[in-house]
Amino acid sequence: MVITLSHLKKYYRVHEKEAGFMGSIRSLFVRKYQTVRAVDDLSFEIAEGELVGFIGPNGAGKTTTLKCLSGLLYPTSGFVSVLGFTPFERKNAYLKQIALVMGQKNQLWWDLPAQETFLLNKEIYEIENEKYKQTLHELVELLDVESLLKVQVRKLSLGERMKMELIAALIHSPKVLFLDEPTIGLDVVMQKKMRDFVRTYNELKKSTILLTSHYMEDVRQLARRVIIIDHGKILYDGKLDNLVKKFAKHKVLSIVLDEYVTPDKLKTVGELVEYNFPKAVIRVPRSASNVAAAQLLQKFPVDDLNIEEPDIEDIIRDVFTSPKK
Amino acid sequence: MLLLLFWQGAIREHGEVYGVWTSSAITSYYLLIAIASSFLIVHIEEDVAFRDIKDGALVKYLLRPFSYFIVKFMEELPWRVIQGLLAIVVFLFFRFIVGIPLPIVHRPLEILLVSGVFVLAFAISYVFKMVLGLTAFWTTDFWGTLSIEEFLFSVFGGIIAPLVLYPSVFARIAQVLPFAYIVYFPVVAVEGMLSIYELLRVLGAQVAWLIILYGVYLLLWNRGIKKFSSVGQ
Repeated sequence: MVITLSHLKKYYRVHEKEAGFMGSIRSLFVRKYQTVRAVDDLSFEIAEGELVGFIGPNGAGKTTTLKCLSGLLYPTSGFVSVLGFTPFERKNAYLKQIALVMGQKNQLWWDLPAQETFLLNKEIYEIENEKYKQTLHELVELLDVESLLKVQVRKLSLGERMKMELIAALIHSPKVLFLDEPTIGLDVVMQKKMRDFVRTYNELKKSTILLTSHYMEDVRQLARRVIIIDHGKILYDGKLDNLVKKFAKHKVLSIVLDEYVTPDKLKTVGELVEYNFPKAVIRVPRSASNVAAAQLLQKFPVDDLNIEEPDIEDIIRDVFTSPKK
Repeated sequence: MLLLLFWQGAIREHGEVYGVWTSSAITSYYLLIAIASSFLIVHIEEDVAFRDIKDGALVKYLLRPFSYFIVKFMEELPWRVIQGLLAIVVFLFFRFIVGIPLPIVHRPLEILLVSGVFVLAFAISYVFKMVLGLTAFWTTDFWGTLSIEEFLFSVFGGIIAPLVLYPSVFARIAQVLPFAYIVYFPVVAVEGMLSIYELLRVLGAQVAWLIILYGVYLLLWNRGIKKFSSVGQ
């Protein structure tokens, strides 16, 4: 396994301060603290070449986990191993094999053209000339940024900067890539380009990629396996398809009616989500979907009927908002 | 300038001080202190404390396979080289155009030893300021620490007055702190006010301070990095 996490915990001790001037004075003498359990007993393994989606609501612990894996944060307890290294020791041999890209966070040198940063990274990572030229050429072509290489980073748009961030992060051909919300703030066209690039890169280089995102389209398009995390704990770890089967409590029946039927009659079959004659959408319990479909066909003048899984976003939302076991 | 005027007035009133500090000597002292401060006093601590630790820019360094200590040195060095070149120009201007006598050592052995004092002074300045910057791992806000350090440096570093003119207690305290070895001793050394023995003693003290400060740096770095939470990044 390339990545192994075992009972990882990362707790923060944060100071609580009352509002106002008296609160400030009081906190000089008496300090109240609370413990934030950002990551609370996380365990998983990722094999070489896997592209895993790591999703969760805000404050779930996704970024904290990535930072523990990349060596930025010292774990409170637990075992972390990436490529056989302990990330926090931040040995040069380890850092030369990983990359962390954080969406909307700039790691390029702001006042230099992007290609200067690439050259700087070439020296930092001790990449041979020929390998550097070949890798740079591949990445520039894949991301189509030839005309932007000599422009100061501060003058690039967000989408262009993200492309350069990716190139800078990948110039040393890392074996493990941590992507923290790489498409955040990008327009839909740029999001698709980013996804296409990440998919192609994963297929070409067989690199292991752990991706966090709030956009379900990123996860749907890229990840065969997802890990859902909330309040620092794993809620689900498995294939995206199985996620639907495990958590989707309902199915959605979309029908087209030949003749008008009153909403109250349709409600006898299940929850009427939407009704805009002749189309209606009815939500029914998963186990009763076949029976409900049969009832609709028998009782009502149905011209067309589709049984669909609920939208993955709705499933995830239900997972996040339901009381945790 | 204010201090120079003060001492000029005191010397006019009472004659030479300690038989050494004439009007000319005090003028050249303050001028050399200003010149030496410009290239010997490092200012990396604000970058380390505010930008890297407090704002989380340290992330950029931690993800790359190089030593933070060495990279920050490389970031600071060009500024000191530029300041140093300007300082040389200022020195030459005051010495040869304005005509202020700025005595400097001229014997080969003294030049060699004084060069060593300057190199070690810069090294101590760098390590000390890095240690100072790393305290932000614990304090987060660095202004208080910076203010205290600036005050102590100006008092015990010889910025306010030559240390020999201090009451003996203060002079002894200054001798055991690192500040004097960054600016004061290099200046009096280059003015030829130290014997060979005293130069060797200063060099020995500088080496000792360098070892102590580097040890403190390693301790603070290893402990501080475990507390780092990369907020905002």
